[in-house]
Amino acid sequence: MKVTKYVWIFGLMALMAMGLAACGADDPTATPTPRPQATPTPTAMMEEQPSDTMMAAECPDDSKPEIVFTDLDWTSGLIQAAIAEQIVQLGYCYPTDGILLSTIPGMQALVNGDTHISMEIWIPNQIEAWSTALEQGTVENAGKSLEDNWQATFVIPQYTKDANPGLVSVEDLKKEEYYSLFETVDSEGKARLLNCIPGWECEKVNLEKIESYGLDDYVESINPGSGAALEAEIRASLEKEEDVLFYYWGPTTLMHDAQTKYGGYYILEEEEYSDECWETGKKCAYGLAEVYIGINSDLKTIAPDLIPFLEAWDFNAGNQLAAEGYKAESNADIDDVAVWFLQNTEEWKTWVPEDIAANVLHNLAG
Amino acid sequence: MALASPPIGNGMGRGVRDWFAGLSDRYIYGGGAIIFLMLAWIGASLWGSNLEFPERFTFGKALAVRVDDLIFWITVNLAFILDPISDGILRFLVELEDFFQWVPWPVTIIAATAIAFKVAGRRMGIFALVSLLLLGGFGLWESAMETMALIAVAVLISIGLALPIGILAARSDLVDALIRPILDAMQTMPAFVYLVPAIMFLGIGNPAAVLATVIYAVPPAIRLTNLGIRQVSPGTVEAARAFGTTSRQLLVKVQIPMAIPTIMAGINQTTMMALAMVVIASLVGAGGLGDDVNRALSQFQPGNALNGGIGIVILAIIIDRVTQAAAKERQEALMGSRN
Repeated sequence: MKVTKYVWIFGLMALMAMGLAACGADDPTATPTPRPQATPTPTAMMEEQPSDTMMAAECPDDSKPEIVFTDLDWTSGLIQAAIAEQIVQLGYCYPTDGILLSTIPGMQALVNGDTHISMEIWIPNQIEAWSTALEQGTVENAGKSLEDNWQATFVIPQYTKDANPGLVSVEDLKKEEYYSLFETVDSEGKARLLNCIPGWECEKVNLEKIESYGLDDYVESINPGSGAALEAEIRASLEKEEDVLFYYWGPTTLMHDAQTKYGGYYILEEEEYSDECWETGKKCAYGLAEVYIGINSDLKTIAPDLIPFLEAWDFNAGNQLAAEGYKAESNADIDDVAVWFLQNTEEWKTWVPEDIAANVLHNLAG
Repeated sequence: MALASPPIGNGMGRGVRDWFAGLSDRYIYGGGAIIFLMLAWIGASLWGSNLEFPERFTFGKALAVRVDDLIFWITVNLAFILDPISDGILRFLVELEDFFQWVPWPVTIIAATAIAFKVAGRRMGIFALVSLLLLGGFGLWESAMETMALIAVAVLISIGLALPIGILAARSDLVDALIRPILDAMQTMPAFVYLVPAIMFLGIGNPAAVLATVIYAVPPAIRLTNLGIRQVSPGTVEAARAFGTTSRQLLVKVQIPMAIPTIMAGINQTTMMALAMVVIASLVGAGGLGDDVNRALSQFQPGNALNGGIGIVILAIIIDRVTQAAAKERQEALMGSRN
């Protein structure tokens, strides 16, 4: 029986092989060598626009050094890296690669030169590691990254606010009617505050705030374990319309969804940020975080033409909301979001020379 | 298959079969490989390399959206079942943790040393004493007790699930065949995949961590309970039947007692796997040694991470040796009574 089975398999395979070979012979376009795929071929470009002399002979050009991006593992980090990668690959024609990393390994890879560009260095959270690396000269700042961002220790859903109009400022958490809203089994009779990701600077800051506001007896900080867990917990609460008190930051997909799907969110009032208050107990709101693009110093020698581009990069709130909004609504992959962004928004074209922008659009279409 | 095996006496069919029968598998596989390469070469020259699967036949994304919707639906609509489960686990865990923290550490160390000494011998007793003092010296005592509470709850729930399921699987081949692929999936599915739904369903913190730990750790206990009962020799079962046992008596008085060493080996493995999960559990907010490791890594402190890691290893070795020695003792008692 076993042998008969092989006869059939052999026979089928032989038939398929003959059939394919026959088709191959009939097809005049078939060539024995594999065709390059996925990236637009130079011949295809020439056929479409033979007069365009600006086009590089080969894009990406394999003789150029490969530029490696740190793909930071959160939405804005991934989107920025994907857009920049498309521009570097299809505009400047460098071969590119991206390595998915979280904050700390991402920084380490940049310092070691395993990656060349990291689109988001959050200074407040990484201040020590970043200043050490700057002093050693292994990395450099290449200008501003995200500009419009906020983080807040005491965020609640809008529906909680609507149901409790008297809950206005952080001080109101000391009232039983309000802190008991956020009580759970593990919060020891206090309000449960979902804190920042363990080990990050914001975790310490939030704990310090709880103490200096005198909220120790009213608020219990809960460690969410990771960014993904924090987001999932908040989403579940919003979906169930439960009262929840949490630390978060924006612009992010979650806060975008909170705004569009769950009726919005409310940040409990705190005194405005000032350096004095920050140095004495942090009894005020967070200031704007400084977010930079970080590069490995080698980039200046291997791809000097990218430096002005990165310095001109300006991923402001408009750009960020456009990209993240499109992602949230279409449920698209990060790469599709980058393509959409390049094809449907205008501002990025001012970050690069005209011919590079034309190159990007042309290669995307091809 | 009737088609493929021509009737005897058909000269053609016999000829082909004889021709192949003379070939060893080596030639058949070798020939297959050559044909594979030929097909690949022809296909690649026809369609080019990196041939993509036609997009109109892909359904992964559409399916994923449905799964997302389903998870949200369960979160909202089954909250009335899930929330009490979550609160129950949490209450139990908080109590147990408070108890572990309440017992003064010298008492805990003396008790653990005494158990290790009695069950696993003098050397293990000394090891337990020294390593637990070391744990305190690392400043990990509180974390270790938190981890112990988490492991204890996860293992208790695992045993509670594994015994009935294992017994069912031992008594019915159908159940056995049904649960086998499920157990395989539970052991190989990356934990990150079910961590996020676990949070949505049970909330951040220990309940989700317990769920994730149980999913990963329960299969060996089920498998070995099943195996242990099936391994009880047919002779013994027949003898018991000859004395007129009911099938319930057979299970409770013969099969389970004789399977206990194997079941304990399963529980031992379950405990080890639960300990292996503590760092992943910390990603959903479980405290303890896993959180120490997670926190150290997020601040680039490899030294601190190593301390936490050593703490987990110490707990694992003590629990492993003690439960193994207990299983062995039981095994020897059984053998003794049989002889």
